[in-house]
Amino acid sequence: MDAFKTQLKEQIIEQLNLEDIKPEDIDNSTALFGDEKLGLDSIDALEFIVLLDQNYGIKISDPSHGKDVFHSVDSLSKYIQANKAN
Amino acid sequence: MIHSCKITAQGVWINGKNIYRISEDSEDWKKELYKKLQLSYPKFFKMDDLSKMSILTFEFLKKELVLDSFNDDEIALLLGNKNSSLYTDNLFSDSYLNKKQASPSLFVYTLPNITIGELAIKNKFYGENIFLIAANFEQMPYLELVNNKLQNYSKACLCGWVEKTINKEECFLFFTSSALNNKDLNELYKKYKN
Repeated sequence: MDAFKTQLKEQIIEQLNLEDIKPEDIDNSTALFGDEKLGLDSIDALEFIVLLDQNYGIKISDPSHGKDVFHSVDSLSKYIQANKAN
Repeated sequence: MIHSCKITAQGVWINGKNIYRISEDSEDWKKELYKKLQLSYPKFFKMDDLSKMSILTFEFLKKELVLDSFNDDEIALLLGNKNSSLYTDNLFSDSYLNKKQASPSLFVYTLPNITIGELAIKNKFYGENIFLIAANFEQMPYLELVNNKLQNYSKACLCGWVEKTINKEECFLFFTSSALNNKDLNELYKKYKN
């Protein structure tokens, strides 16, 4: 699971173009939106939707789910494990 | 005095005088200037190149200015270029035609006036603004626009030219709180072209 979360962080860094950020800089449980060093905004929320679709075949059709799903690496990881295409 | 700043992949000029040369081995000259300015603004790296250049140029120019005497809605922003957001438009087009995934972060920059928005967000400007498409720097109606704005609500104008194509990257900004005349414009043209 830790390896998966590290891989997920690497995908987040690439997809969201987070300069000078390493996987170890992103805490698993800390809120992703609101972390000043990441500087995420509403466009990044859309990039998360693209990331899930591209890498895991998961389509989020109801944007209201995004707030909970994209809260942290832990919540994102849990959602992917439960919904990724086989 | 009308202060100006120009940046290109070669260096930085303040009021026509070169103050910094980009390293010959620089892989990313805009990132080099970001580091030189010691900025801490993560959003910078997600911006299009028009916005990056405008932000960097104004950060250098700001060092020459005293902005405290202006309210946040008294500085008008008047920018322009020839090729609009065409460079990013093509990147966005490539993202959905060839990579089959429309990129939200590219889409948001498929309008040139977004660079004014980024300048406004970073510097908390709430004043009048306009982004014009003109054939070249000399065709921008700075004199008419600045003098009109300064006769009405705005107390100062941040003006300039920011261009990004495959072959060219440049940004020239100038700041004035007094009306422009033809002599001022000629001086600015010289500083832009040098």
